[in-house]
Amino acid sequence: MEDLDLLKVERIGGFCGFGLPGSHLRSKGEISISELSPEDLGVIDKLFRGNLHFASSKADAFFYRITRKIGDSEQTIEAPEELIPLSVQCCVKDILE
Amino acid sequence: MSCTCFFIPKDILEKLAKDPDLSKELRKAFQHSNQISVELRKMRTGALSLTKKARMVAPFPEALASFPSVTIFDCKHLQTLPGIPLSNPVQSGDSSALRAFKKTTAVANFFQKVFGRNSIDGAGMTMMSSIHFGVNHNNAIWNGSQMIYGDGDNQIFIDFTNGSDVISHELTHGFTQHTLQLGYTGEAGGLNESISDCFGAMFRQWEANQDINHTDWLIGHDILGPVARAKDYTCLRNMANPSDPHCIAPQPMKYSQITPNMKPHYSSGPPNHAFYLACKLVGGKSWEKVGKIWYLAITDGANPRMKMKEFADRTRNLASQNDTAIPGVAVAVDKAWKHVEL
Repeated sequence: MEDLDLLKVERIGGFCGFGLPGSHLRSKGEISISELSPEDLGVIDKLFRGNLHFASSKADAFFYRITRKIGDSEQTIEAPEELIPLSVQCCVKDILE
Repeated sequence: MSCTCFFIPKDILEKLAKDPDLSKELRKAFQHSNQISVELRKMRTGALSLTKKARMVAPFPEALASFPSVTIFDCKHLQTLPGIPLSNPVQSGDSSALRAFKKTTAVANFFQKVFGRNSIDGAGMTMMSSIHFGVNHNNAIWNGSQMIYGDGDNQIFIDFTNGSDVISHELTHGFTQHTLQLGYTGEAGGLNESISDCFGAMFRQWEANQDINHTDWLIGHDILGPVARAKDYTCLRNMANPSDPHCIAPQPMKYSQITPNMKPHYSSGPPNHAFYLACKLVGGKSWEKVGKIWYLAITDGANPRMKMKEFADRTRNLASQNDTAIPGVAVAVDKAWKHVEL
């Protein structure tokens, strides 16, 4: 997949502490923008255009850190699970190091 | 956490409503959201004021029930909540349903018998849980109204309803929401998580009637799957030794290691350890002694942005006031907090 088409996705937090400093739990994945439905792409696009970093509001909920390439630079947003399309949520795989 | 409806701050909504890079429709949507949010915030402030005044006039409001109803819903591996209601979780043939029902009922008993509290809100609130959330979902959450449990992937984690501490941890988030009302960011977030781990551990010990010398302080021990166990992990977090290398997610031990934007499951290390140390110093059963002090501190008035030092001092004051009833607790609580640099 070409870099510019790719969303790098990381799932953070939760009861088990995915992706925290020192945590042996990781949940990462990638999804091509071309794989997203128009609705899902619209949601992701709005999150990136807002360049927002939401704090989690629900106890032990996951939030997602999503990175995309824009030219030579990268943009990263963080948003709680309820704002992330299921197709993007499902692209990550849980790993225990 | 009482702000679950408004996690987009007002200044962000205002900024988005004026952002020239967004479409006219989107700017209008954010403007409307902001207008509605302002009115809803006024309603919430009003409701809180009414609740406070009502409590002053009638300090013992009528309870919904003398003991809470416990309801279980099956999400059927989807993420739609609450799911299909199970009319008889005990006889449903679903072991997750049976565990969720029995353990939630036991937690309700724990809060009532040990602390005299009738359910999450003190007034018999129904305790609602949804099981089989998502597919191989490695998580459990409190969403502001109910508990939600994933089945785990059967590799790293097994069904989250297997953990007594997990169930009590989630229910305690509800208890905190209705009492101390801690937020979920900064030091308040770390305290919020710690309180849930403390009451999670206490309930697990109470269930097994274990005193300090015959228990462990391993959060998540009972939900580890075969892959986690094969790698010699024993828990998610260890309150007796937060930096334990056998933890899947080790934590800092001291307050000086906490940074402002630290996530709650990481920053809960020092207050978790303080609770453990205090219990160890006092001896006996955690829920009978130090647990009572923590309960009093949590129910002693809301403070959504509470700092860890403020909570520590609150427990110190309450421990001093209760030192005759619980001998040694004042010295133990003070020493424990000092050990973690608070």
